[in-house]
Amino acid sequence: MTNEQNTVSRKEASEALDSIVTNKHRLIETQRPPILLTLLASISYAAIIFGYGMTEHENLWALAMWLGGLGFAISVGLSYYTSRILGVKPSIIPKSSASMRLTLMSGLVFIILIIGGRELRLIGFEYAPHLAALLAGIILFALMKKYPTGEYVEEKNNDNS
Amino acid sequence: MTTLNATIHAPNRLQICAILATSAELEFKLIREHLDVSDSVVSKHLKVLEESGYIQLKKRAEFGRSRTWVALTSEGRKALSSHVKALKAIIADAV
Repeated sequence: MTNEQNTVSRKEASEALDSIVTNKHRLIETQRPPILLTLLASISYAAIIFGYGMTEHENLWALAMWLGGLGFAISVGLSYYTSRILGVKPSIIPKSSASMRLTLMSGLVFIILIIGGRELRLIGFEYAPHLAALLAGIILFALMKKYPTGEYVEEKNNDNS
Repeated sequence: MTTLNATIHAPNRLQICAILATSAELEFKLIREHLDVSDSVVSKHLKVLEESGYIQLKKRAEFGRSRTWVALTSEGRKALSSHVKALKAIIADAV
């Protein structure tokens, strides 16, 4: 079954590719964690970054950071547990190179937001932690919604048709 | 020269490999529901994929019952990736 043998036509190849992407999306759509859980994880994560950015020695923002950490751990744990019950074990360590790239990129962005939010406030940008927390929350929400199983899934497109 | 993988190209097996690529492991029951076929049909396809070394089956007792988990092996991921490249090559050649 090779390209040269022409046993698979362009139409069949296109349908097979569409089938791969469609099936991945179908599975992902059924495995998204509940919106409230995603929101809780995102808000908790934003609280960690905001708390870290605002912390001065032992002030109350440090408590917000720890409470955010607790909320984040609970929501991620619940999300993982829900997936397991539904029959999916999400990837903790990405399996494909595209997923690895996505994880590294998002990790880098989060590190920049965590450090940047705090450091910019220390040099006078008062609202840097607010902005960093907001961005981190939005990015995490989008990632959890788009890639709930922890693996990168390509977008549906019509290039193959 | 990219070649299509006959083992993966069968419609049901292609679907199985595609959904397995989205996570670390999927439960047998979920695969069956996704494909909307009987247990025996899923078992038959999983056996073919397992014999080719593309998937791994694990039985575990969880939540008070025995569950069969299916995972795509690294060899299976490579085979699926090559198969996708071959399909894209066919489309590109035909343009």
